[in-house]
Parts: sequence; structure tokens; C-alpha cells
Amino acid sequence: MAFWNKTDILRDAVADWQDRGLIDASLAETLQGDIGTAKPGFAFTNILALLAIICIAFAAVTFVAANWEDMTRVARLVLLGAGLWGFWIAAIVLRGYGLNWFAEVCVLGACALFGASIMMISQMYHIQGEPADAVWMWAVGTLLAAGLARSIPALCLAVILFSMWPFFADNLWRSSYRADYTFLAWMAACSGLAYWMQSRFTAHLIAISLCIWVGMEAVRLTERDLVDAFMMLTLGAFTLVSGLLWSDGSKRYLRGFEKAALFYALGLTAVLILTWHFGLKDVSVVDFMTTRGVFWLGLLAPAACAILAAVGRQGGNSNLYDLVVAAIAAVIVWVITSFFAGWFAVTEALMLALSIWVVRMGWRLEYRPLAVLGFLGFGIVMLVIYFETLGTLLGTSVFYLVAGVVLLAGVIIVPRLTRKVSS
Amino acid sequence: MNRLLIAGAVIAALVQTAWLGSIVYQRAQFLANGQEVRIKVEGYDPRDLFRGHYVRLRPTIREVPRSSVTIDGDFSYNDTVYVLVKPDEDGFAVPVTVYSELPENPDGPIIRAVARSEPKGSTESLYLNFPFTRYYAEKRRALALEDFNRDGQLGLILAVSETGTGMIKGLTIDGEVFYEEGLY
Repeated sequence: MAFWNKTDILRDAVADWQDRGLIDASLAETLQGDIGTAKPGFAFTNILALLAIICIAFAAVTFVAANWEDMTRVARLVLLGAGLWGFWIAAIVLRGYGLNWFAEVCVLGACALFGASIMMISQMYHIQGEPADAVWMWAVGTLLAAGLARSIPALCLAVILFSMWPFFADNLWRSSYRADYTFLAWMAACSGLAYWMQSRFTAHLIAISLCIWVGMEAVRLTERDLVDAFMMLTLGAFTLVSGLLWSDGSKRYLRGFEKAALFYALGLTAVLILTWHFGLKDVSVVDFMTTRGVFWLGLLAPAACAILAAVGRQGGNSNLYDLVVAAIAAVIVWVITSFFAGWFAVTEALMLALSIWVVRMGWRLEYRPLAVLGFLGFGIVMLVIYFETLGTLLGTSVFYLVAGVVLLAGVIIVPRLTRKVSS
Repeated sequence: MNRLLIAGAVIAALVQTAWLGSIVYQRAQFLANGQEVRIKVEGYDPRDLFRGHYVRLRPTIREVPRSSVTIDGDFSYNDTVYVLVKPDEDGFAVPVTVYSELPENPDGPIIRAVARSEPKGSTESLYLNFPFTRYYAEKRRALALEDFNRDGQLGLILAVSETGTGMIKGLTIDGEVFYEEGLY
């Protein structure tokens, strides 16, 4: 359910069609009437209820942090326990009356108090242990509650808590830190519930969380010279892009979330390639060439992309063009990571080409955020090249010139090519 | 569907309450039945995002001269080790033996720790991480405790189980019991 509705946009469109004579007055009236009777998407009181519970949750967490010793420990425990049960009873009663959103918000309140209780117990009774473990326990309890009581706000809280969990590790900024890959399993569980509850907002949260986690892990991989793993990660991102394009152009297995997922996947791919580009400066090319343990394994990604493109061609996938480009890009990335690791001009040219492809994709799929991402990527790559300089300033100037000429050639060639293909 | 969701809500509430209750109960059992050990600590006063002010405790036994302990078994950096402690002349625990495995029938309390150096390292001391690093208190009390802490007057009373797990049972100042935790 979206937080806003598009009634005004529809009304304006109908009025515009009537003004331009595309529809007659009676049809316009019928359409305007239909828009008027449409059920409002989301009442403002629903948002108020959500914000109220968030305020109460913060009040509970701050109350715990204050460690108010004038109140006995048992009294504090009973207070939070009563609050927790109060929210659960309210959720059950409201569910009984069919006020589902308010019930879901009450589950969020109960989960917030569950977390505050964990923190209070470990604080009052000096229970030692990693802060990350307390956040994990809160997240698991909240995920369980969200699933059992079918609450989207509680599921969002669970995603946020699981996202915070890695940041609570004591040794996060030390070399001894190793990522806990169970994070991915928890995110998969959250994704399953988001799919079941058809919550697009939660899906966005999960995608953002995954991008941050993978981005962090990518930076660590370059720090630890694990170029093989990093190469697999980058190629895996291309496979994901292909998979999303294929789904978007066929049966939409993600219920239309594919375009948004593409935005995140391509953003992540851009971050990975940029990290790889900068990280390579600290990695000896000779070392890199001798640690290619996954040389053949890396071929799996272009192969998967090619298979998806072939299946797409057979099934008449509407994104065939982008599927083919993704497969070619995966092959190019595999070749560059395998043979041209130290050739910065090659990676910079690749980044420029990819950003232009993303602009084109956004245009073709009519999804503006993708086009914006492409333009943003293009701008960043241009600045990166400008500040780094390719050997000399003259070399950089030649690079820009060649890129400009290629793009101008595209301006002339592409429309002719398109006309030829369509005829 | 609504009946299922109501049943789900009841189950979720019960699970959350039981999980919280089990923490409180287990901790009380520790304090009631655990063996008492006192250790010296030093530290400062930071603040936790969720749990507020605390005194950061650094048990002095985290750094043990290799010459003063016996090492039983082999272990690596970050491995769990079991430290047999005995009281010194002031009544504070000092490590006697560091075991790589939990010993059977030890002749004193055992505290579980994490090794921060290896048995045959080049340093003079063996470094251990004990899990008693935080004492939460209301801001003014935390700051007052910090004053004692700065002068090395603060000590910790622990309740230790047979498996080496410890819980904070109280505080000492200059060796005298200053505060003792209630069970609940």
C-alpha cells in the first residue's frame, strides 16, 4: 500500500484529455466519478498512529537508557512487561474489529517494548555480552512477531534491526573483523515475509540494507586483497541485473518490484566497479595475476547472463535488448578483471559505457530513477577521470575527446539503426 | 484468517515474554548458586546507545605474567580458554592455570575468557579478555564510581558457574563490599 494516492494526477489527465477533445464530456464525467469513488489509499490517521507508536518506542528506549534508580528494578520490569502485553492485547482486539492497520502498528509497539526490555534487563542485571547479540535477539523476536501477527511495520523494524546488527560488532573497524554471512539468511527470511505481505516499502528497505552490507564487504575484500572474491561479487551483480531484467520482461515474479530492484542492483554494481577501480591501486598487478583461482568460475556469470538472454529471445522477452547488453557487459567485465586489471583507462571506459547504458535503460523502461542513476554515474566517472588524469593531462584530454566523438557518432548512428531495425 | 493472526499474536507475545523471562531467571540462578570470585578492575565512564551510562571495567587479570601461570593445553588467538583462579592475600582472584579445555574437578573457581595471545608468544605477559567489561549505572552514580575506579579502588564480585560463565554480583571499594545485587 502506498503512502500517497494518485487521484490528483488522474483527475488532471482526464481534464486534459477532455480539453484536447480526446474524450467527450460524458465519458470524462464517468471517469471523474469513478476516480471520486475510489477507496482512499491511506488515511492520514493511519500515519499519525504509526508516528505516535514510533514516539512511544523512542520514549521507552530513552527511559531504559536513563537507568532511573528511584524506581525498583522489578517495578521497571513490570512496567515494560505491562506495556508489551498492553500492545499485544490492543493488537488482538483491533484485529478482531477489522482495524488491521492499527493492529499492525500495535505489534510494532510491542516489538519496540520487547527490544527496550532486552536492553533494560541486560543493563539492570549487568548481563555481559556483545551489544550485537542484544540487537540480534531483538531483531529475531521482532521478525517472529511480524510473521506470526502479519505486521508490516514490525517487519520494517526487523529489517532495520538486522541492518544495524553488523554495525554493533566490537571489532567492526579492526582487521580481525569477519562478516557474519548469516546476515544474508536473515535478509532472505525478511524478503520472504515482505513478498508474502506484498510490502513494497519493506522491499526497498531490504534492498538498501543489502546494498550497504555488500558495499561494506566489497571495501573489506579490496583491503584484504581478496580480488578473486571481489571479481565473483561484481560478476554476480551482473547476473542479478540480468535476472531482474528477464523477470521484468516476462512474468514479473517480483510483482513489479523489478524496476526498483534494478535501480538498486545497478547502483550496487556501480559501487562495486568503482571500489574495484580504486582498490586496484593498492593491489600489485603481478600478485593479482597469480591469484586468479576463480578464473573459470568467473565465466559462470557471463554464461548465466547469456542463457537468460537466449531464453528471453525464445520467450519474446520485452527486455531482450538490455538482456543482450548485460550479457556482453558481463563478458567484458570478466575479460577486464582477468586480463586487464591494471589498465585504468579500460575500466574508466567501461564505467562510462555502463552509465550511458543505464540512462538508455531508464528511458526505455520508463523508470526515471534509473535514468537519474545513469546520469549521476556518468557525472561521477567524468569527475573521477578528471581528478585522476590518465597519465598526463593531455592523455585525459584525448580520452574525453574520443569519448565525445564516440557519443556524437552514436547521436547520428542510433536513430538510423533504430529505424532500420523497426522497418 | 483473523483467527489465525490472533493466535499468531498470542504465540508471539508468549514467546517474547518467555525469552525475556528466561534471561532474568537464569541470571538469578547464577547469583544464587554461583561460586563467588572477586577481581580488581580499572576503567572510565562512556555511554551505550540503548543502555545508557556505564563504567567501563578492565579486570587487572586480563594481563598475566607468563611466569606466574601454568598453561595446560594449546590454544590460538581468539580461542576460548578456562582460567583457574585463587585469591591473593587481599582476597582478589589471580590466575593460576590457563586451560584450553574446561577441566574436570578443578580445585577452585574457573572463569571463561578469550585468549588474546598464544601460549608460546614473545610477550612477557599473556593477554586474556574477560566478559565483564561494563557496569551500568545512572549517570551520577556512574561518575561517582568512576572516581573510585580511577584510583584503582574498585573491585568486582562475580558469581561463577561450573562451566566458567560469570555474572556481576556486586562491587567492592578498597576491598570492602560496597554494593551487592539482589536476585530480582
